[in-house]
Amino acid sequence: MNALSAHAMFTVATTELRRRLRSRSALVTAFLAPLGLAVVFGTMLSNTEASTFDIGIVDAGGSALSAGVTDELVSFDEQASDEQEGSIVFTVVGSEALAEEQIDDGTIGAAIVVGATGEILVLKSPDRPISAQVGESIGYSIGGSLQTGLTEPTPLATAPLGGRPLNVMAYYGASMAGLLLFFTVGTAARSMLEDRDNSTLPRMLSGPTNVGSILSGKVLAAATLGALGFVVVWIITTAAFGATWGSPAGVILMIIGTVAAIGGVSLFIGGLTRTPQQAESAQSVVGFMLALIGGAFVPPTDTPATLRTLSRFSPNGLSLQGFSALNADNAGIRDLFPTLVGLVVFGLVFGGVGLQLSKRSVQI
Amino acid sequence: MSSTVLEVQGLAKKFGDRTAVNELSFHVDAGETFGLLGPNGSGKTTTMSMIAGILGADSGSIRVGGQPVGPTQHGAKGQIGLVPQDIALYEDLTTRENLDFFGRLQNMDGARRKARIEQVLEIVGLRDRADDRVDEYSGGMKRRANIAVGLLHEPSLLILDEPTVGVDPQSRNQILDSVEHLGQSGLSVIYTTHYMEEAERLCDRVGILDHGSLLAVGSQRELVSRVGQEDRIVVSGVFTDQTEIAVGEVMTLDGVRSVDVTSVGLELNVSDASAILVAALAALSPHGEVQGVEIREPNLEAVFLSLTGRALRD
Repeated sequence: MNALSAHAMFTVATTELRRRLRSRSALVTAFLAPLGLAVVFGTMLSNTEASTFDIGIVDAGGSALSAGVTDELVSFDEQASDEQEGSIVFTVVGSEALAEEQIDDGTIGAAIVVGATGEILVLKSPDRPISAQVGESIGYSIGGSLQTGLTEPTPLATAPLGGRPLNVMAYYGASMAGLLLFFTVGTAARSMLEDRDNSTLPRMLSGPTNVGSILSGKVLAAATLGALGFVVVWIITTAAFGATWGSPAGVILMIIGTVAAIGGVSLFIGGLTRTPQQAESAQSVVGFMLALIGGAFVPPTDTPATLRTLSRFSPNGLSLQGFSALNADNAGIRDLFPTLVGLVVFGLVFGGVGLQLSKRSVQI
Repeated sequence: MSSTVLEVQGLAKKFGDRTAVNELSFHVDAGETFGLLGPNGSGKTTTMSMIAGILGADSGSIRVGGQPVGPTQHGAKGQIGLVPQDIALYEDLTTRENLDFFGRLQNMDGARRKARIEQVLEIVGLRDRADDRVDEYSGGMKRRANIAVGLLHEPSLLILDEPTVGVDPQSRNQILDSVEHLGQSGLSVIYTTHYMEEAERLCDRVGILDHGSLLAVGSQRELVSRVGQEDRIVVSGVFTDQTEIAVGEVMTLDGVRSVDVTSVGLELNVSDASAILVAALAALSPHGEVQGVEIREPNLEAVFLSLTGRALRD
């Protein structure tokens, strides 16, 4: 078994970066594409009311019961607002007519109107569908509790279960950057196969080096660009769209772990393919599949149990688990340790097998 | 006394059921230019890949400068310079950048690498264009840059795998001149080609390769004499019913070994064509109409034909 040569890896990596800079593909993969992605997602998500749901409460009954429900909701808001940045904001509104007015002018997204005997009417804004959905769910929940014979309204949880609510912008920023990473790191295997086809690989191998060192150098270059792209998404979503990703040290470690895991999977896929075209297609298909399973498009919590379980065994799922812990649970580096270990093990196992397979796939 | 730079013993390689190289044994001496002549698919490139240590052999051994060569045996690799058949360069880099990259991979230190880059640019005549990107070069210039990389780390054995494929005649001549100079400078060269005239011009010894087997090895003169090749006089014409008489007449001449009747006339196998030509024509003229005469001296093409029953470019 040949040892990897750090000198050969570094030589290949720097030359690969030089070539990509010269062709401007580095600018696209490490800056323009992530920037575009961050701006598009930032704009999309900042126009949804993902972080704050304004719900009006109207005591229309004037009874002890309706007053109790109103007070309960307002007190939930008062207790939670200090700890939760964005979330559900309840506002007492004087009358149903006033609530309709506030819905029309966009002040609130929904209003829960409580009648004297606990009957519930929910007014919804067509322009703020998520707030409307949240208002409706709360309204039905309260109405259901009251109609099952409870004389007192069921208190809502007054404290968040896991720290802050999930920052949607940070979640989707990490998920999309992870998906982009697949395409960026995937170029390493393709480049290796191109080198085989144009005989630069045989020429390199005629010197005192080996396939593993050359491929590792290419992965190192691609991973550097991938990591830079990830950082661009992080910076842009934070600076321009107010995303809260969590502790910077944790984010950097998570980016490194994610690059390691996805780099390993990418090497594995590259090792299974025989032509640059095959490598490109396979990277795209597997990248999308793993992103889908990992919750890049729909968070695992909203998917069936099987997918939730599967997501824990995908690099994207593990990565998003770590990023979610950072931004929602305010996790520290120690809390991230199991996730980081998982990502690195993922990368080492798949990358190791991929390196062995690559020796076969690039056979001269 | 010449020392052996390359020693190949019983080299064999199969791809699946197909035998690419079959029990090859030969050697190359210091300062010798050795040609491997064979048609496309005869196993030349596979042999070169194994000698360069890129491809592992199924059996047999390769030693360069006394050290074993193989994909995991790097000891002798510094002594081998490979010039693949393709332009094995990054065309989006300049020649100088390519040389620097491959020099680094050969573990050449900075000062030596820098000095040597200037030397090889001078050797291949690309000093003025060294900072141009390779994709801006003509085909011939790319070929020369390709050779420069193979020479960079001062190997004792240079492997040139069909370096003139797809090159215009002028560039081809430049490349052949360069190889000639390299041979004269004391470098050992293995030159693979399916162009017989290149092997004849450049090589001290030639190995004839076909279907992965080495059919014969030696200097051109040795090979020609080994297969018993003689001069031939090809006479085209019409001899009609006088053919047998004409053959009989010619066979009486000294130096005529045999006469074959062909579809276009007669073919005389003779010891010395120029010495016997006039007498042969005089003997044939009364028996038919001679329309053309061609003298064919034995060459590697004829040797190949004799050994395989096929022309080199079939």
